[in-house]
Amino acid sequence: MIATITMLTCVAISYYAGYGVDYDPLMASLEMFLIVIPYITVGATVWVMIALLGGRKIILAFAGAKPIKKADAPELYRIVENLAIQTGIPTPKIYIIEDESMNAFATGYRPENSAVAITRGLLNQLEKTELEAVMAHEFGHILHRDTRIMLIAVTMVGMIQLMAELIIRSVLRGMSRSSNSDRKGSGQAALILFAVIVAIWFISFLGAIFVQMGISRRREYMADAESAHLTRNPGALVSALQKISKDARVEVLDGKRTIAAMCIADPLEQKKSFFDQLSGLFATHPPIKDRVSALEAFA
Amino acid sequence: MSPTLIVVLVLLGVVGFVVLTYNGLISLRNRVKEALSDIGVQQKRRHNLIPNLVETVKGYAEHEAGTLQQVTEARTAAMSAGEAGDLKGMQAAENMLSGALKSIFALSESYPDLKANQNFLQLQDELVDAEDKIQAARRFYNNNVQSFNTKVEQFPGNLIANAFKFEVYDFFEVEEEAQAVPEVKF
Repeated sequence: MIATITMLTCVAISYYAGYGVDYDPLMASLEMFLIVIPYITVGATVWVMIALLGGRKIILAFAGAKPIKKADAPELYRIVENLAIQTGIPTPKIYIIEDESMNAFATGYRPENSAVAITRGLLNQLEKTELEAVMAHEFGHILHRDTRIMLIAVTMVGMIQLMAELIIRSVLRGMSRSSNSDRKGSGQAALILFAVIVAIWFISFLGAIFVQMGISRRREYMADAESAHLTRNPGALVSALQKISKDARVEVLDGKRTIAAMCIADPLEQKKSFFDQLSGLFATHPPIKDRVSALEAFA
Repeated sequence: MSPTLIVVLVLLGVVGFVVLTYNGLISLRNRVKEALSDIGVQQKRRHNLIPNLVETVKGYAEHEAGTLQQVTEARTAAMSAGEAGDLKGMQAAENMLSGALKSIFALSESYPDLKANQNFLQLQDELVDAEDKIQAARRFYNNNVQSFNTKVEQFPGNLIANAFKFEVYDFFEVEEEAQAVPEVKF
């Protein structure tokens, strides 16, 4: 995949960066491809390594989450400890997000090395059984390796976004340069190519998001089911979800759709508009009422 | 394909199946054993809290020597059952201990000073948590026992399990209701 993206990038660059006049653009781009591919591969590998190994910390830092000690929130701490004993994994690190709204997420590449984060608002407003249900939902994500899948998805989407940005910039620069020089014949072809490349990027970019959100929505149901299984108390998750749905919006996560996909409820601003009907496609989470009715089937 | 080759392939397949199933059973059984020792760890944690509790209560409730004696005895019994490692014995002894602890918390109702004691309250908290942790460890154990037993009993795994004398494990009884400290009014 990385190689394909690189090849496309090279074609685009060689078309617009001034090669086009004397050389066959395809040959030129092939040459360029062979020159840059080692760098790109090394760069992409490093990117992936950093993102997967350090992703947990990066995401927690983005969300403004602070680690806590047992004395800070003994009840929460014990709940997490007990769930860890029950599922046979080491106790995840616990983080608090100082925000009055209500949300929680889990992250980590391996279950042995994961973290759960919860907002102050959620911690304050939930009863013990509800808190347990929410944490069990997050354990569901950790145990099903959803946190790993999401880390990979976040990494890939991030890389595609970066490359899309690079290619569009180079194309724009090439455009402004070629408008100065005298290249009438190739101008039209270049325009078509430009459109095609933009279309490809648009599709792959949207595709990445759809895949990610699709994974995310299915996984929410599974984590809910795991919570019901671990706590033997689906009712507690239902009442927790109903409380959360009143104020799930976390300001610090605005625009961070990739992190939003990992939260227990969608933390992004809910826009009430005509396009709400369409918004199901973009949603990171199924509607709360669907999740509640799925949970009630367990009770 | 010559007949020899077919025979060799079939033999390889059979050997592969036996090895894979056997190894799978071993790793599942090791997880059951690990889970059992986890229960032991959590039980020990509770046992270690009890002398402290007895000391604290003694200072306030001298006339309750009988109840305290019961708790101490139940603890000793639970500890030796834990060392013996017998599931049924462990379960019975731990239940006895839970009952004895409940009677201590019940009697605290008639000693307001004791009930207000910070140390006592903290111990009470820790003991409730210890019990929750024991329950959690038992659930983990039961989960592992279930996967192991299923593999031992299901065809074709049961062929290998019988040949190598793998036996199913007993489940721990898990009380579904979380054990709250009882509210006793006199």
